[in-house]
This record gives sequence, structure tokens and C-alpha cells, in this order.
Amino acid sequence: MTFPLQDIKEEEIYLIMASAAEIRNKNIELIKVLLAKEYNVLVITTNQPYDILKKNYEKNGITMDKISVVDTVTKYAIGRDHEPVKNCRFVTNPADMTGIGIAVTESLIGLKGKKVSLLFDSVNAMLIYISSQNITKFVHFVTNKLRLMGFSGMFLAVEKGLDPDVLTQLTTFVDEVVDADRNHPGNP
Amino acid sequence: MDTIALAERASHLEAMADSLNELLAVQEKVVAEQSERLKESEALLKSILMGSPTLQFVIDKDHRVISWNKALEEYSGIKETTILGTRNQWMPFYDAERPVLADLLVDGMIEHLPEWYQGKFSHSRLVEGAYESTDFFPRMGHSGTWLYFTAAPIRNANGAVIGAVETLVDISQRKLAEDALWESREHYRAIIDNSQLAIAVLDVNHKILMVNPRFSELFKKPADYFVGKSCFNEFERRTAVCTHCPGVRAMISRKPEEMETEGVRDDGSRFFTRNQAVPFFGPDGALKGFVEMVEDITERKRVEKALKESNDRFLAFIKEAAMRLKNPMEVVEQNISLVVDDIERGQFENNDVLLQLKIQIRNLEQIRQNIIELNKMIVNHSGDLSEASRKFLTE
Repeated sequence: MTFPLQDIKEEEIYLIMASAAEIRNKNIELIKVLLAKEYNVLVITTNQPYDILKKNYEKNGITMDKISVVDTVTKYAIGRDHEPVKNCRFVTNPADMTGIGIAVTESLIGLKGKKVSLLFDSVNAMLIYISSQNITKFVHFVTNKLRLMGFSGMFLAVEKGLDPDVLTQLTTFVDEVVDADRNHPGNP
Repeated sequence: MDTIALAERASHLEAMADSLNELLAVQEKVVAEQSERLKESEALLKSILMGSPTLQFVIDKDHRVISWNKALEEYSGIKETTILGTRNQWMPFYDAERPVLADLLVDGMIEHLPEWYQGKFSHSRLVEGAYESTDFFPRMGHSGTWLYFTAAPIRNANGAVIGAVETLVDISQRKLAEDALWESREHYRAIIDNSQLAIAVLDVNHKILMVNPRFSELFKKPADYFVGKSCFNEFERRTAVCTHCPGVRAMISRKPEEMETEGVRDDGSRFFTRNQAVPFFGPDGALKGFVEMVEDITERKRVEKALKESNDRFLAFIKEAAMRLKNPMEVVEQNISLVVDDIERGQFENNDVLLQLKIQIRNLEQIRQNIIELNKMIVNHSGDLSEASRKFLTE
């Protein structure tokens, strides 16, 4: 559906569909919108390591002041612990659902009382390590947490990469599905 | 004695003689009339006996044939004139001389009946003192004849036996029809009793008339238990005719109808069946009920279900595998493209490029593992792969 990202509502949860080529830009676009709406953003990254993500944000004029990160890839890629970072939790590997769950829960608790939105980037990258069934369970777990805590959330996904049955299941956990590619000028 | 007295006596004697003559004349007339009536009666009796279409003969107390009717003449080929007065009544029926049923009755030798008609005789229900029997006579006709015969004693006014009459009916056609019917029934019984299909015969009101052994085996109850019961109650635990009943459809369409359903036993166990109902009719074409043939397809259903589940699992795995290969490849492709773009623009730091590439190597390692997992599933699902192919795909 056509949906300007600026129109996102508080405490609502969205599944944002974008093309593979555009997904990194959508991440930046969403962060900007969320920060402009004075959200504190918790980014769960399953593809870009924290260091790269931070540089990309900074390159796009985004400060990390109100951003915290759960990084699932750095530790796995470099094979050792990353030096501690104040606003980032490093999980052992992208398949460690328990570790990710704990990191997300702790991060959200740390943001309690603030205006918070979670940005999950991305469902598709996580599919390298986790079955669709476990991803569905994980998304369900996270959306429940967000609703209980009154936070909003954005789950980035490449539509063409998801099986329609999986996509249908994911849509049941969110309030709206947004086709981000159709928000470009010229796209109806 | 004087002359007058003598004349009177003579006159009396003459009168007596006249009276006697008169009486004798009357007697002669009566005897003649009785004789005539007797002759007429005999002629009538003979006419009745001779004219009867039933094979019949009569013997006297000396076992001599005193009547041998036309029908029997025709049937046996023995003329009345040649057999009357003889004791050859056995001749058309047997190879050697022996008593026929009438002979035994004339002699009152009832106790000897079993000796000559073992298991084949019985009291007549219609004629007192008569006996009847059914037997096959190989000598009679082209290929033997079945006769149903009855012998009855003939008694005089004092009740003494003075002869016996024997009537015979050719029941060969009926016997052949009965045998054919019996044989036909036996064929059907053999088929039905040994059929792997559970078979029930039902009337138009869905009352069970009979079931075969396979049916009782399927429902784990004796066959006679079902007789008179309602099928819908026994087969599916319903209180009214099943809406899906193929019998109802068969009776309406007057042709075979079939459907698949689920049966329930007393112990609650369930089984799947394919039921075919075939209507049957009376000789007048009136609908009499239907035959229901039930095939236990529980095993087939189980195999079908297992196959479907297996296929569903396989399809789900393929879909999952496709998703977990297509997506990651695209992710890796995009990530490497971005690294290449950064390098081309000269906007890169070695450590960042190194980290990005390390992640992509990890991703590719995982994708390779995913491919192996997919191959294992395919190998397990395909039975006809060589050992070498299996090894190549799964290691």
C-alpha cells in the first residue's frame, strides 16, 4: 500500500517492504524519520556490523545519540569480542535467538519511559542463519514485547525474498504493511 | 287227505311259487341294475384313472397291477395290456426287481421303508396312511428323471388293505431349476463369503437383511448381530439415515452410487471406507433395497495422508530452502556491490572492507551449509540415487 514513511504512528508496528537494492537506504530514511519524530531507536542489525552502520549513519548526518544497537554479525565475523561500545550489544552470532532475545529485552528495558521505536534490519538477512519458522517466532516475540511496553517497531524485509505463507504470517503480527518502494516520487 | 284239501295246497304252492318267481325276478333285476351301476362305476373309475394326466398305477393285495394309466403308458413306454395282472410295476423305474412304495404299503411293511428309501421318504401331509418320496431315476428319460411319488393304501369297507395306488410327478424341470438356483446361490455365497469387500444387503427402509463375514470382521461383530438393525445406527452411530448415504442415491437413480465415509466401531475406533450401493429389484421390477459394498480404505488413506504429509514437508522445505538461498545470495550480492562501490569511489577504509568481506564469507559458508541440508532432504526423498551421488550431494 502507498504509505509515506512520515505518517508512521506512535505505538504502531510496521512491516516495511523494500527492494534488495533499496533496503539500506530505507534503513537510513526510516532512522531519519524516527529521529525527527523524537524517537529513541533500537536497531537490530543482522547484516551491517555496528562499525559500518555507525559510519553510514554519520555519513548521512545521523548522530548516534538516540540510537542503540543490537549487533548480531560483528562478533561472528571477526571471531572475537568487539571492544565494548556504550550503545551497542554484540550477540555471538545471528543464529543465537536466545542471545538476541536477551539483548533486545535488556535494551528495551533500558529505554523504558522514553519514546521508542525498534528498527529490525532485516528479516531477509536473518534467513541466512535462521529458519522462517524461527524468524516468525522471533518477530512474534519482539512485537509482543513492543506492544507490552507501548513502543513502536519497523521490520524491514525484501518482499520478493519471502515465501507468501511466511509473509502472511508476519503480517498478522504487525499493524500495517508498507510498500516503501511505492513512496518514491513518481511511484503511485 | 281229500281232493279239495290237496287242490287248496296246490293252489297255495302255486301262489308261493309265483311269489318266489316274482321275488327272484325282482332280485335279478336289482342285481342286474347293481351290476350295471358297478360296471358304470368301474368304467368311470377307470376313465378317471386312465385319463388322469398324473402318472398313476394301482396294485391289488397280491401286488398285481390292476391299473396302469395312459400317462404312465406314455411315460414308461409300457402298455397297460402288457403289465396288467403282472407284478412288474418296478420295471420302468429300476434295473432289478424290487418293491416299489405301493408294494410296501400293501404289505404294511412301513418299517422297511428306510431300507428302500433311506432318507428320502416322509408321511404325506395330505393323505392319511400315505407316504411320499423324491428320487432320481437314472434309467428314465435321456439323462434320468426326478420323480416325486406318493403311495396310498386302498382299504375295503372293513378297513382291510386290498391294494395301493401310487402317483408320480416328474419334477425334473423343477429340480433342475432348483439345482441351478442352488448352484447360483452357492456361486454368489462363495463370492460374497470370500470377498475382501464387506457386503451388506439392506431393504428400502435401511434395515440390514444380511452381511458377509468380511463385514462382521470390519465391524468386529458377529454377522447375525446386524440382521434387522438400521445401517445408519450400526455403521455411523446416527439416529437417522445418513445425508451422504449412497443407498438413498442408488434407490433414487436406480443405478450404482458410491462415496467415501468414515465408520465407527463400538469401541470408538474409526476407519475409512469407500462404499458402493447397488439397488436390487423384485421380479415385478419393484425396488426391494440395495446392496452396499464397503471397501476398507483406512490403510490407503493412511498411506495417502503420510504421502501428503511427506510431500507437504518436502514442499515446505523446498520453499524454505528457496527462501534461504535466494534471499541470502541477494543479500551477499548487495553487500559486495556496496563494498565494490566504496572501493571504486575510493571512499573506503581497509578495516571496514575487511570486516564487510569477512561477514560475506561467513554468509557464504552458511549458505553452503544450507545447500547441503537441502541436498540431504532431497536425497532422503529420492530413493534411486547412487551412493556416489548421495555422497557428493551431502558432504
